[in-house]
Amino acid sequence: MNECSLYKNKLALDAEHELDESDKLAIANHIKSCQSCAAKISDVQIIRNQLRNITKIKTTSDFETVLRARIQMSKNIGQDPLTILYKKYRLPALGFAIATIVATIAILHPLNMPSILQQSGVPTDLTFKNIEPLDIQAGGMVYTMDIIRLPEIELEARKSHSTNENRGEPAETKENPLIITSYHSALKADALDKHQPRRQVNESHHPVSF
Amino acid sequence: MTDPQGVDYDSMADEDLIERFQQGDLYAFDLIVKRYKDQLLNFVFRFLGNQEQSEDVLQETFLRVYRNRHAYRRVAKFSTWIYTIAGNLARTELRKKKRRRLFSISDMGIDNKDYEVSDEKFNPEAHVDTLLHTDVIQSEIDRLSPKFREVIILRDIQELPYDDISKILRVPIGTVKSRVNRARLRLQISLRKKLDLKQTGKQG
Repeated sequence: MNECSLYKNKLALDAEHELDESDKLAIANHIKSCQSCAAKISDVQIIRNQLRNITKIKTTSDFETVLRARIQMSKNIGQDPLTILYKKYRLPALGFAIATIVATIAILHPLNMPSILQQSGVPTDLTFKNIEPLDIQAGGMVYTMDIIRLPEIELEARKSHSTNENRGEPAETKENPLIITSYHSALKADALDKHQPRRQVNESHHPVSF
Repeated sequence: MTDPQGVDYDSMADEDLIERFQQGDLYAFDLIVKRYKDQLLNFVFRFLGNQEQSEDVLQETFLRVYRNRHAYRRVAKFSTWIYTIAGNLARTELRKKKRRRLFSISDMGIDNKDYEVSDEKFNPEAHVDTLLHTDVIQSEIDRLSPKFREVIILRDIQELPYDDISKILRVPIGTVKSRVNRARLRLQISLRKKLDLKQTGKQG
């Protein structure tokens, strides 16, 4: 059995006459006493014969005529002005398209957005730096909410407020919609989230009564 | 054949023919087509299982040889080069065929040849047997995965050396041998059953 494992990988090659003389002789001696290995060699020979004798097909009679026509056609296509233009400018056009896509992505990349917004006059510092607690008393309960102060946004709001005053118009409390959205959504989100009192009134806070 | 200038084309190696073709000798290209069309067709046909598609692939193969003749360098055998082109195109065609089958209800894995009237009855009995065996063998080859299919066709039907197959497929010789053995084993198992059944059916 151990001897069989020595020849395991060479049996098929023996059937294909791909072995050198020494291996060939060794296998010939081995299969005299090993029917299993002899059968394996025979199996390979049988399958090879079956495959070798498979019906061969031929190309159709007009194969070469069709080929010549296709070659001629491809030559004509190559001389077509559109094809010449395409061949000449396809690489620059591809390069331009890639550059445009890369530039668009670079300009609209989230990292660049603050500077774009700044140029458009939109406040950009949207990080909630100053979060202050506000306690509200209602129905005998005390609700604590987080009020978010956005200094830059407030500044913008004040600017628009003073501009209106200088024109002699009645001072409107024209707020930047972004403040309201941020402020209200913060309130809403927090209020909705806290149906239960979160903590007791803190001395340092300023309670608001309704 | 010898031309008026005394060039003996018939005894020329493929590499000499392509070299002449590279220098503008179109007759050399015609000879290359004549030498390779049938053996390449059999390679592609056994891979795809459809003659019409195989001839299309073969046309494209020769067209690429024609267009890219200057890409051939004499460091490689011409046969390896042209088999590589044909093999790549056949694999692409096989992938397209699979996609078409996936989306086409009418196809459903049945080949047109299933509906063609077989001409077996017009042939002698021995030929009928060969055709019968060929059909069974082809259907079993079709069941093999492409990587097993191509090695078994190149080795046992086309009878190419392992070294050439390794270069055509760009895989190590050891891998080629191992794939050939595994493909043979699969075919042995399935063919033993099927051919025995056919034989039994015929006798009954």
